[in-house]
This record gives sequence, structure tokens and C-alpha cells, in this order.
Amino acid sequence: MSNHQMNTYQRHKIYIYQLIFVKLLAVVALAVPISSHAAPNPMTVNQIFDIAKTVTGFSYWWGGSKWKPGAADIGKCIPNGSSGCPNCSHTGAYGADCSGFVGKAWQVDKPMALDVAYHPYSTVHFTGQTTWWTHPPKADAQPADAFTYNKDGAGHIFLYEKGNPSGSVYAWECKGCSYGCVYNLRSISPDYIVARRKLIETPPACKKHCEGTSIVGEDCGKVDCAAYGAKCVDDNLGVRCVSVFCPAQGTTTTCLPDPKNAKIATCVNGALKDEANCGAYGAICSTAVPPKPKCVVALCEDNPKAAPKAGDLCFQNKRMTCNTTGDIKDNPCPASSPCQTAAGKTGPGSGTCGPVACGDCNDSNPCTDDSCSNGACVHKANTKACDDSDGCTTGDVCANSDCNGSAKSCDDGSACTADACSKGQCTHLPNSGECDDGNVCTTDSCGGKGCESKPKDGQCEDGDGCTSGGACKNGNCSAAAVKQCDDDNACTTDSCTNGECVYGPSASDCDDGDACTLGDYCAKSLCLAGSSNPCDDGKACTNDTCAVGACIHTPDLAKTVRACEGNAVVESNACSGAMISKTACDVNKQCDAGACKTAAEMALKDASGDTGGSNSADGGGSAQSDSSLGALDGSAAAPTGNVSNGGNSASSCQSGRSLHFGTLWSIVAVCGLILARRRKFAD
Amino acid sequence: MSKLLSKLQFSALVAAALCVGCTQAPVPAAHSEASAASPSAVPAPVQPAPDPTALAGKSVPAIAAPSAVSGWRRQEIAVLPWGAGPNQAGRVAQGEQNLEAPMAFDGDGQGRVWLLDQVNQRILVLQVGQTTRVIPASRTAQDIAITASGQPWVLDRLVDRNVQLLDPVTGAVQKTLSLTEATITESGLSSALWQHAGKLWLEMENTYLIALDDLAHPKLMGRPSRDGKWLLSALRVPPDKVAVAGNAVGQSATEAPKLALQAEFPLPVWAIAELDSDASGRVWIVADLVKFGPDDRPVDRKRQAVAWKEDGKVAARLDLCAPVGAEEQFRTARVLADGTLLNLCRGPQGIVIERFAP
Repeated sequence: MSNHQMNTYQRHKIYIYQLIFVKLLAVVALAVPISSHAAPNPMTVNQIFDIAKTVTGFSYWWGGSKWKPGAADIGKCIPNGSSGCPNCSHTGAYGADCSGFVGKAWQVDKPMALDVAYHPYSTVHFTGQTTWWTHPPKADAQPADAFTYNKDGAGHIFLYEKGNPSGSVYAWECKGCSYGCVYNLRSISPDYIVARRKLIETPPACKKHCEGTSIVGEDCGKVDCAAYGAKCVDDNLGVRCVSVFCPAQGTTTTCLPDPKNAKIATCVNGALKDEANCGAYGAICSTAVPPKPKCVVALCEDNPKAAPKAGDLCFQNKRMTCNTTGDIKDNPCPASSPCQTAAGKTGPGSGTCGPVACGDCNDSNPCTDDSCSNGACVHKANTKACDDSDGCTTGDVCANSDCNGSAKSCDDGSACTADACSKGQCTHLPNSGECDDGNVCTTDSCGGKGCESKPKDGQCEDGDGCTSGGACKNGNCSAAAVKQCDDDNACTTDSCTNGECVYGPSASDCDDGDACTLGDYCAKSLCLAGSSNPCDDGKACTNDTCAVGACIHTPDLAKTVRACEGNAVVESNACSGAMISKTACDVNKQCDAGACKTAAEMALKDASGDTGGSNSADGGGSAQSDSSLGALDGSAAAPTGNVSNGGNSASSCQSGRSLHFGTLWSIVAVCGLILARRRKFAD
Repeated sequence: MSKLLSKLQFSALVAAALCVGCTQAPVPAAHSEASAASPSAVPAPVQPAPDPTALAGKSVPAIAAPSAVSGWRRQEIAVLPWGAGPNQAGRVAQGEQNLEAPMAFDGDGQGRVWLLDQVNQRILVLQVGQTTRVIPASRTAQDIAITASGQPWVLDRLVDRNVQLLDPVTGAVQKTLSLTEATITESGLSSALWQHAGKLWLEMENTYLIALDDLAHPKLMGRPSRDGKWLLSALRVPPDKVAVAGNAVGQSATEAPKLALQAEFPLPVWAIAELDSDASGRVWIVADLVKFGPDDRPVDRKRQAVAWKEDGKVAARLDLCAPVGAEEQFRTARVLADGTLLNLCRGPQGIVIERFAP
């Protein structure tokens, strides 16, 4: 026997066994009720279809009857050959065969979850029994009926939706191993019969629904929920009236409208239950206090979490505060703030927590600020404006707890009246008082218009100490002479102030009377010597000097002068001009200003810009060079050369040759002043 | 065609369409006869559906039943016992599942019959007395249509949800058209593969056709006749009549069908097995007739075909082999262009394929 033959043989064997089993099942099923207690619920056609639709896509499973809408696992039937099941296998959790599907769609013989295997009936039952179904004529088939067939061990059943004019039908079915569970248009053999589930409910004439606030019932009658303070809601809990104060679903607490805000109730899926009155407990229904509306002590509603504060109510030395749920909670008043009764005493009784009361601390004094501190009245002086009730004062203000003002001025400016204030009014009564306008050159007296003044003559004192010999004229006092303050010192400024002579320093030039100085100047009211007088008489054959305030010019016949003639130095007598000698310069030197000079000396001369002109016979070139450097430096340093004719005042100071007072202390002082003054000028 | 109706007051003509399971509809009084009208000549991709219900109760020539029109010759193409052999056909008929046998077949222009033996996952190409070719096919294919060039299209509407063009020799898939396009919301409600005007169409709910191989997916509101004149539809008129209506191509949807045919049968009509036409203009209807006993079990069953000539006269009334058993069927009668009628008959031992030709 070949494998193929063996397989065929085995399949036939299996088939025979299964056929027998099915037939046995059929016999048993026909003879024995499945369950004497089980019973299906009434169903509508749409309810059956709603189940049927969910099977589409799931696998065919021989003997199977469970599926889970939306499950990814739809199962898989694997045929073994072409004979179909039961010569097949199945994998996965879900799937159904034809009768398992219809039994579940019909929910027979009892309600059963789709994903729970429950397969009480096969096509044998559906075709041969009338347990939970009938067999109307095929011509009378209705939606949600089943077409069933079973003969000679072959059976099928599908759920009928409707037919079409060609004779085909729309059907849900778990068709077979290869097809699975499908919805399709298919032919139908006349060998099928119809099975109709018992307990099919006829859809009501009207579907219960909402129309505005009204419920339309299945009898098409209408009830307005608004008449009961409700609205119509249609949700998964059904069509019903829902209180406008309640959410449609869930259990919550709600506050109901009430003049005293005291009504509270429980909402259960939109219906009000357990209405109560918070007011019976001295409370209100509050939505402000979490976690939900509840009865709350009124004073705790606004801010139940507020920290206790001064003034909280207390009773029997217990401080009443609000806890987080809006209830009153008793706490002792702090030791520093005992419970105070209204009478301001501590101890038992109702009152407030806080400091000891003072009673009335008002002292009726506007110039004090009144307060209570630890049971004692405090009257603190203030500086507020006030009224001292005296009309003869103005600018009343508090000071030192009193109200005082300044005397009201009633002066009418006339010495001929007595000015006074009485009861707030100024009075000006005539008097015999003296008129004095303070002018010594007038005669004053009271007249019809008050004080009158007339000019008078005579000596007078104008009050200025720097004048003298005053006389009145036309009512004015005029001085005759001015006080003389000239001190005959050119180095002072002379003036008179308040009758006293004042001599101030002067910066003007002056003359110290010494002909040996020039450019004398004032310092500290003294006339100081200027520079030394050179006494140059312009004559080359004289020696010029100054001594004892006078220039002296002594003749010097031996004095010579040197000059250039060509490249030779010519020395001549300064007085007669007679040439004494003529000396030619070396070839590497050049005669300049009466001296032979090297190229370097000439270059130095050119660089200094010196044009020469010196007539010195002994080294005038070097002297000019030093002098020039000092000018460039800008300082007041004295030249160091042996200049005999033309030194400045500084060199004179250093040399001491310009002194004419001859005193040592003067030398130091005067030289310092000169230097300071020159520096000032330089700046 | 002789009985062309026009300008009928269709609003009042509603059939007593007591199909299986249908809610019975009232039968209003018939209105006046319509005069004949010439059909339009130019086909259009979308046409109004003819309303066969408009024909209910009309006075159309009664077909003298059950005598067949003489001059037609019956030929057995194949007799195939149940089994998986080369000259057998597969069947599934055991407990708690759909009973199956070959659901559909078609003929080509070469005299061959292509039998969809889906239980054995194959197509048998049959000629008289023998199987000439076997090619593989889907286990869940339910319809087959042969192209003019001799290639099979197969419809798998429930599992793979597609239509495939197979190599006629090897069975290799040459083209696949998905049925999950938005234009086909539920492929399980498809009722036939159809070829017309060079396109492949899928009929939905025995009502309208959608072109599958045209991206625009044009629709035809009825089965197009091969001569291009009509969009045909049919319905049972209980208990024993079938009405056929044809809208002329290009006809407005609001107009009455211009073709109205009605056949009366010797037994109550259980189902309409086929509606088609041939190239000569004959319109064919094939009906399964069943008489039920008191226990609602069949006591007599027939399958009859009626053909009308272009002038509306009956061209043929043929007694066909009537299928028995509870197996599902999809297309078990076919009309070929040359006027040949093929019948796939299911019996207790196997199937018989018969051919009727004038």
C-alpha cells in the first residue's frame, strides 16, 4: 500500500469515526435537552446582526465557536487534502464552524460571550430540532433566520440577511476551512430549510429617543423632562431624564438652588438622590471647598485653607478655625492671644483670640493718636493741624499734644495807633505815641494822617566812620570830608572801611631808590630790587661798573678787541682802534667772530643758530652755546659761563653782584621772591 | 425583437418580487401596453439599469411550457464522478461546512469547456469525452471567464479578493486585479465575471458591472447584450415567471425599459441561473425550478432555459439537467457567442456538462 493510499485510507477511517460521532451526537442531542435551565434572552434582528458582523475575517475552526472582535489573532485553518474538514487542522485562539457561529450569533441556548467557546448545537440540531427555533417555510424567510442543511453527515448553516431578485441571498457564514468566516452573496440550494430563532423581539413602533428636552418612548408617547427640572440624554445608559444639576453619568454630590444655599444632593447617573439640608447644621452647600460640593460652615467657605488670624472666633478659650475641608476645628488660642470675651476680659466665654482689650482709648484730643497696646491706652502726640479756638491766632498746629497758633498780626503800620486783637478782631485805637522815621534830618509828629515828617537843618552824623562834618540838607544828611588814609607806600592799596584805614598789598611796579637796580617790584607791601644795572655806556674802551647806587665808567686804554679779516684774526686797541696783531688761521680752521674755529666748532655754531656777534675776547663761543641750551630747556637755571657783560637777574642773585642793601637775610628772601615771580610770569 | 415596450408608467409597476427571503411587495395594477421602439445604436459605458419589476403583471406572450422548442441538439461534454482524478471533479460534502462542488465554468471559441474544479485547486479543460488539460487554480476561486484569445480569468472574491489572468497552459498568474479598490466596497457581494467591449467586468449583487481593467472603473447598470443593444436584467416573478428587461444603450435612467420579456415556467422559479445573450441577438434566461412539498422539501426540480429571438419570439425552451444537492453554485449555465448553451449539472455521483446547440 502506498503512502498516498494509506493516507487516503486513514482519512477515510477518521472520517468514518467522525461521521459516527456526529451521528451519535445528533441522536443524543435529539434525545436529551442540552440544559433544562439554560434559556436564551430575547433578541432583536439587529442585535443578531451586530454579532454576526464581528465574525467576518475569522478563521473556520471545526468545532469552534469563539472569536474576539478586533483581535489580531484570527486563527488559521489548514486543510489536509481536498475533502475539507475534519481532515484539517487549526492554529490560533479564535475561529468558528458554521453551526458554532450561528449558535453564538443567536446566543442559544443562553447568553454567552463571543470569545468563550460554547458550541451546544450543530446543523443536526438546527435542522432537526426546534429547541430554540422554528422552521418556517423558505418562502417566508426573514432577516436573521438561518438556512440550515443536514443530510447524510453533511451539513451547513448560515445566517440569512436578505435575498435578491435572482434568488441569491446575502449571508454571514463560516463557510469552510479555505474560506473562513465571510459575508457574501451566494446561491442557496432548495434542500436547505429555514430555522428561525425563538424570542425574536419585534422592534418597537418608536425607538426611544430624545426630542429636545423630551423623551419619546417606544409607544411614541412623549414626556418632557424639563417639567421635572431635567433634560433628555441619550447615551450608553439609555434614553432618560437627567437633572440639569447633575452630570449624565457617575455618582457625584451637587448643590441645589436654594435661597439659603443650604440644599445638597447626590447625583447618580443623572438622577438626584438623598437631598439634604445643610442649614439644619448651620452650614451651607458649597462648591468652593474641594474635593466636591459639601456642607460647609459658612465662614469657612471663602478660604478654608486660610491660616488662623487675630480676631478668629473663640469659645471657652478654644479658637475656632477652618480646616481644609471647610469644617470648624477647635484649637486653643495661643498663650499670647488668649480668648477675649466681648467685655474685654480673659477666661471662659465667647469672644475672639487676641490681645487684652482697652476699651475706649479716645481722649478727644486731636493732637494725640490714640491706640491700645497690651491693654493700655496709648496717646501719641502728633503734629497735625488743629484749631485752638482762639481767633487771635493763626496757623494752629499740634505740638506736644497741645494745639497752639501764632498771634495774629494787627499792625496797621502807624505809630499813631495802638494795635491790638480782641476776640479775633484787630483794633487800632489812637495814641500819643512818638513818630520816628529814623531820619535825623527830619522832624516827626502825629498828624491827621498818622506820622508826618518835615526836613530840618543842622549838623548830623551820617553813620559812616570814613566821613566827617555831616550837615542836613533837604532831609538828607551829607558828609563834608572824607578820611585820609594814604601811607605813602607805593606797594599798598589805601582805603577806608567803617571808619578805619585799610592798607592792602599792591602788585604795581615801584622804585627802590637804588640806581644799581632796574625793574623794581612790590611784594608783601615792600618795594624790592629788580635786576642789576649793567651801566653799559656803549664805549669799548671803558670798564662799566655800579657802586653805591651810581654807574662808574673807568677808561681802559689797554683793552683790545679781536675781529676777523679774511681768514686771519686781527687784534686792535679798543679805544684807538690801532691793530696790534694779525694772525692767520690754520688751513683746517676758519676765522669767525675774531677767533679761529675748527669745522666741528663751526658746525656747532651753525646748529645753535648763533650768528655770532660776540665781541668777547675770551671764549664767547662756548658761552653762547651754554646760554642757548638753557633757553631750550626752558628753565630758570643760571648760566655757568664767565659772562662779564649782560648777565640776567638770576645770575646776579647767584653772583650776589647786584646787592645794594648788603644784608645777608635780604639776599635769601629776595632771591626766592624773584625766582617765584619769574616762574609765575613764565607760566 | 417583437415585444419592445416603451413609455410604460413604471412608477406603478412594481413586481410581486417574492424572492427567497424577500419581503413580499404589493402588486399594483398594470398600465397600458407600450409600443415598440428602436434601440439606440451607440453603446455607452454607463447605462441606466433596466427595471424588471416594471414588467410584472404585464401581458407578454406566455411561453408554452414545458415543451421544448425543437431543433436544438444536446451533447454531453463530460461526466465527471466526484474525486480528484483527471476525469473527476472535487466535492466537499461533510458535516458543518459549506457543501461545494465545481461552482463555475465557461466555454471558449474552440469548443472547449473550462471547468473550475476549485475543490481540487485546478481548472479542467474539457473536450467531448476527455480532459485535455489541467492547470492549477486557487482553492477559493468561484468564477471563471475565458477571454476571446482563450485565457482564463478566475475570481477569488472571498479570500484573496482578486481576479487573476492565468496562463492557459501552465496556470501561471499573468495578471492580478485587486478587488479591494474603493469602488468595490465588499467583494463578497460580487456575482459574476463578465467580458464586454474588450474589458473585464465584475458584476455586483446581480445588478451592475464595474470594469476592473479600466482605471476609470466605468459602470454598466445591467448585463450588456452581445449585440451591444441592451443592458439586461432579470427577476423572478413569483411563483413561476421570470421577467427580463432591457434598457437600450444610451437610454435615460428615467425611461421605461424598451425591452420587456417574460417567461412562464412549469414549476415555481427558485433562482435565475443565467441571463445572457448570443451574437445573433438572442436573449437567454436559465432558471432553476423547484416544487416544494408540504414539509418545505423539494419534491420536483427542473432547470429550463428560454431564449428569445431578436423579434421577441421564443427561439428555444430547453429542459436542462437540473442540479441536485446542497452544494453552492456560482455560474452553472453559460451562453456562448455562437448561441451554444452550456449547462453544468450536479448530481449525487458527480457532474455532467451538457451542451445545447441549434
